[in-house]
Amino acid sequence: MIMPINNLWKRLRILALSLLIAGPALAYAAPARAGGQETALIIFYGALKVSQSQAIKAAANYYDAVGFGAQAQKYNRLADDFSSGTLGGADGVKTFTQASAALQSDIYELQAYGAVPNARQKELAEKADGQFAVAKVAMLAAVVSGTVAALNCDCSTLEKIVIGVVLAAQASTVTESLTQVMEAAKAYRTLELGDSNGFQLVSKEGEVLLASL
Amino acid sequence: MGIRIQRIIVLIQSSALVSILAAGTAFAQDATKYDVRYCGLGLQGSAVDFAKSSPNLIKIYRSQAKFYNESYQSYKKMDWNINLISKDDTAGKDNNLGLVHVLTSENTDTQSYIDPRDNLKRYNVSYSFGINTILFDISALQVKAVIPSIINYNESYAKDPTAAEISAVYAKIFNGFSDPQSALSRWVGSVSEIPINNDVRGSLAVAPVVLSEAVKAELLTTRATPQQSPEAFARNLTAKYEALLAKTFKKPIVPVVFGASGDGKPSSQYIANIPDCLGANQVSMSLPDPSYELRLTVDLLSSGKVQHELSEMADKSRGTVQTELDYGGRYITKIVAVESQVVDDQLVRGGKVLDERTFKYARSLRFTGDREINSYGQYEKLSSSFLQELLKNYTTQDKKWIKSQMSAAVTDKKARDNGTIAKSWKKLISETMQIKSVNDKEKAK
Repeated sequence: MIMPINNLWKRLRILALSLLIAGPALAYAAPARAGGQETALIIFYGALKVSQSQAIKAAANYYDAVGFGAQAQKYNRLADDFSSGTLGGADGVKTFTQASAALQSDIYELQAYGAVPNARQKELAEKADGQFAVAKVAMLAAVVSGTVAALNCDCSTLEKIVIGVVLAAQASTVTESLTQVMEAAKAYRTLELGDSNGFQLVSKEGEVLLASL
Repeated sequence: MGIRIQRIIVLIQSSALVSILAAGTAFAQDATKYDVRYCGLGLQGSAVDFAKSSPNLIKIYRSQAKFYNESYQSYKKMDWNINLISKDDTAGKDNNLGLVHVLTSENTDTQSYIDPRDNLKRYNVSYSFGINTILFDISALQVKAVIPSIINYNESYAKDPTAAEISAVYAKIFNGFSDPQSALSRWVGSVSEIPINNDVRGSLAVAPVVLSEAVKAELLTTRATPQQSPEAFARNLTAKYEALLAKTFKKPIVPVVFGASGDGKPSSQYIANIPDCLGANQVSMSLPDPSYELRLTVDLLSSGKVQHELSEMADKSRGTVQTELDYGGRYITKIVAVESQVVDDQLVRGGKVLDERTFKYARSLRFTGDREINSYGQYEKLSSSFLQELLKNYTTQDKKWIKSQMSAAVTDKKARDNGTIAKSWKKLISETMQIKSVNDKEKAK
C-alpha cells in the first residue's frame, strides 16, 4: 500500500517540476483545460470527503478527550457535514485545514501551560490518536484513487500535467494539516515526562522582531 | 506549523552503564564479559550539603536497599555487555570495577495557570532530578566513565501541592520499575542503549556554559523568583547539555564537577558517597581527561509578542485574538580538542578549536487571548531545545537546519555557507570523532 503511494507522490513532484519548466506553454493552454480541471477536482474532492469526515470525527473525539466539550460538539457537526456532502470541494479543504490548525493550536496551548492530561484523558486521547492514524491511511488511499480517477479524463497531456499539479497541491494541503495535528498529539503524550513544551515555529511577524539574532 | 521540539526531556540518558547492570545472574557465567560490582545508589558531594539542597532525594537515598533490590531485578531482564556482580557476592570474581547511580540534584518547579477549558486556576509541577551512572575503579578511586541523566516528570494539580505531596511524588517516581512507561523504566531503557567500557579514549566533556553580560541582564530582568539566577541558568543548562550529549552521541562522558570554592570553576576531583561499595564516608575520585570538549556561550536572549486574528474554527469564547510569544537566542558553539592542566587543584582546559559557529534559534508559544508568562523558564526550555537540535544535526549534517539557524551576526559569506559547514561536520563528527548519525540509529531499531 505504501509503495504505490510513494510512487504517486514522486510522479506528482515530477509533474510539478514539468509545470515550472513548461510555464509559458501552459499559460497559452489555460482556456482549453479549465473544464477538464473542474471535473477532475470534483472527482478528487468526492474521493476525499469520507476520509476528511473520519479525520474531523477523530478531532472531535480528541477535543472531547482533553476536555474541550463545546469544540467537540462543533467538530461532530462538521464531520456530519463532510459525510453528508453538505461541505465539500475547495471550501471543504479550506474548512478542514482551519479545523486541523485550530485543534493543533489548542493541543500545543495545553502543553505550553503544562496541563498534563489525567489517566482518563490520556486513555481517550490515545483512542483518538488511533482514529487519526486510520483516517490518514484512508486519506492517502483516497488521494491515490481520486487522482487516478481524475486523471482518467479525455484530456491532453498538457492538461493532465496541470490537473496533476493542482491535485497534488490539494492533496498536500489536507494530508499535511492532518500530519501536523498528529505531531501535536504525539508531543502531548509525552508531556508528563517532560518531553514536550508547546513550542511552535515563529511566525513571519515574529521573525522580524527577532531579526537581530 | 510544526513544532517539534520536544524534547527536552526526559533527558534520560543514562546509559551505558546501566547496560552493565543487567548482566546479573544471566551473564554471570559468560567469560567474555568483564565483571563489574553493582554499587546501587550513591550521592554526589557531601551528604550534609546534599540533604540541604535535595530534601526529597535524600529520603530516596536513605531507603537505598529497596532501590538496590528492585533495580538489580530490573537489570537482570536486560541485555548487558558485562557480568554484574552483587555487592554481597564473595566469589572473588571482582576486578575492581564498580557501577553506581549517583544522585546529583533535584529541582521542583511549580507554575500556576488558568486552564483554558474551564477558567479555573491550576498548578503544573515539574519534578526534575539528575542521576549520574558511573563506572569506576574501586581500588584506585578513578572515574572511568559517566552517563549523566536528567529525569523529568510533570503533574497538574487543582491546588498548590504541599511539601509532603511533592515528596510522595518523588517516592512514586522511584517506585516505577514495574511500569514500563514510567520515567524510571524509560531511564533504564535508555541507559542500556549506551555501550560502556573502561577505555576513555575519544571521551567527551561539556564545558560550563558561559553567559554574556547581556544575557545575564536579560535573565535578571525576566526572572520570577530570586532562585532564577543567571548562575542557576548556566549550571542547569550545563547539566542538560551533558545529558543530551550522552543521549544523542550514545557515549559516556567526563562530567563537569564544580569545585567547592563556589566560583563556578570545575574541579579535577569527583566527590561522592557510595555506601554499598565504599563505606559510609565520602570519597574523592579522580576524573579522566576528555579528548573533546563541547563549549557553549549564550550570547543573546530576546523575546517578542505578536497578535493574530483567530481562525474561523477556533473557540472564540476564550478570546478574540491569538497571542504569539516569541523567544530567541544567539548561541556560540565550539568543539575543542582538549589539553588539560590542573592548576592549584583546579582544572584548566585548553586546546585546539576544531569547530566554531554562531547560530540563532527561535520558537514561540501561542495562546488564545492575551497572555503574559515568565520568560526565564522559557529561555531555559528554548536553550535546551537548541542544544538537542544542535547535537542531532552535528550527527546528521542537515544543510537545511544549518541554513535556517544561521545567525545574523555571521556576515562572512564563507562562514555562512551551509554546504561547507555540513562537510566540515561530517569530517569532524562522523569521521574523526566517530559519532554515528541519529538517523542511522533510528533505522537500526
